Amino acid sequence: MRLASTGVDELDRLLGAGYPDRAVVLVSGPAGIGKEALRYWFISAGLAAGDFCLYVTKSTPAEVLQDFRGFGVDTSKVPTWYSREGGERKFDPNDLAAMSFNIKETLRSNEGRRIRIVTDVLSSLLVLNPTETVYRFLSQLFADVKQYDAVMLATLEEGMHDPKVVSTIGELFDGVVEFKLFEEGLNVTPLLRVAKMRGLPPELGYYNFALAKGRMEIRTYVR
Amino acid sequence: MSDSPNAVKPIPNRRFAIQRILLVAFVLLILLSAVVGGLTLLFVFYVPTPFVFAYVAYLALKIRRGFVVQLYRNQALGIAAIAAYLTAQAGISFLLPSPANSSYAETLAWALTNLAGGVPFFLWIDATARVARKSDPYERDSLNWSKLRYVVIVVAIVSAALGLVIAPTVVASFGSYVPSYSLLANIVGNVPFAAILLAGLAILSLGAIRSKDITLRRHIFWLAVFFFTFIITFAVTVIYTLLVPSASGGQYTTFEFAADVLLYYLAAYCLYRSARSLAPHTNRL
Repeated sequence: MRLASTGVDELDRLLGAGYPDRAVVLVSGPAGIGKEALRYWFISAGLAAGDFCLYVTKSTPAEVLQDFRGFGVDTSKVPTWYSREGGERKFDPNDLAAMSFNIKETLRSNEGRRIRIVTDVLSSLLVLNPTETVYRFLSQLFADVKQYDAVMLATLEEGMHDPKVVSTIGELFDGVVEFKLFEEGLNVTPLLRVAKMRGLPPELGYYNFALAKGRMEIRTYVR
Repeated sequence: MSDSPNAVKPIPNRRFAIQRILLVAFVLLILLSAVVGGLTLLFVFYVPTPFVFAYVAYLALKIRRGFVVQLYRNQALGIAAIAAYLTAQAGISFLLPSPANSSYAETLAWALTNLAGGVPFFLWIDATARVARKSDPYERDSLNWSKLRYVVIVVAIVSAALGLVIAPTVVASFGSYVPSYSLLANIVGNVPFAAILLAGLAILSLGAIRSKDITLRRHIFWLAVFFFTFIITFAVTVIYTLLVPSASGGQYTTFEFAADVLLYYLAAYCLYRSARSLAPHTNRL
């Protein structure tokens, strides 16, 4: 099985060598914990490897690039943008049909290449549309993505939705990486866990992580 | 604007229900103490208040350590700064129970605690307004906060600086606390401070409606209750002063003291709840 590097060496080691091919991966956790770092490093690794990279965002490319730099990610190469404004295509969170069409068009026109798609719009879609509608839309979109040599990574804000909604949407993904804030005595520790990943046995253990400029350190969590 | 199709009511938490019952019992106990024991008994309740706020500041800083993104760290820092400010205010009120006949240093301490409040509140409002924008599906800039914030910064700094200049000048001229200083300091310090709070309430209410983020809404809800606690206590004290002429004579009455003690405990509880709702966190894995 071909694997797509996550862009984080230590996470690659946890997953074998990266995310599985033709897979959709969800990164969920509270806002502010650093989920976006996985998006940035995944795209950065793809650009470095010469993959076609599509970034679907509710922000503007300038804002996202500013965040890239904040996490110490190289911005000498940039992905193709599908954004609220300033991108190659305009993103509208209310228009799921247009989003589906545009992503399929992009996949079709880059057939034969390794494709990476990253998105931060999942939470927005869920607050603006009924869960059933988003579920059906994602099911169809993921089926389309898996027809190509593509890996898709999406992030979801944990505290923004009903836990049942997060759990339901999580079922659609081949892999789920969970971030948590764990209150232990006098400390609050950020932890991560690979809740599921196609091709790997379910992971029960949690890991400590720390983000520094341009890198992420992951260590086995010991209470 | 219609609510989100996925919006849910927060699940009632038994731990917080017990806390609320204890809080109501505690409030009744304070009121009873005011009636039965007067100022002396109230003082016993007043002593722990700086420590309660210090704990809330510690809790906010503890949660801050879990965040990686600077914006969310700033939001937690804002709560910690508000709690630290109230710790200082409660502590100074404890050490210097009355500004009458205060020395230069004491008046300066009073001025600092009365006039520096705009800074921590601004820190929190600014960070939370930007968090609300980030969680809004359309990333709307509520009431042009990205520009308005600079006006608010200037107002906060100028009012604090003016107050700090006025306080020592008045003390140097008169040798001690004088009522005119109180009036001037109140106008210079409290009017811009109130303006910052009202601007914050308007922006954050709009931001909470637009973002539909249940965690953010809960956080803002508790801060809004915190603000209203201040406003209501202030209004009740003013009305009482107007209705009871002897209350404005510079003496700290049992009623005013009871109102202050109640305010501090209610404010501490609201701050505690808002600090806990900064982000969903668990104590079970």
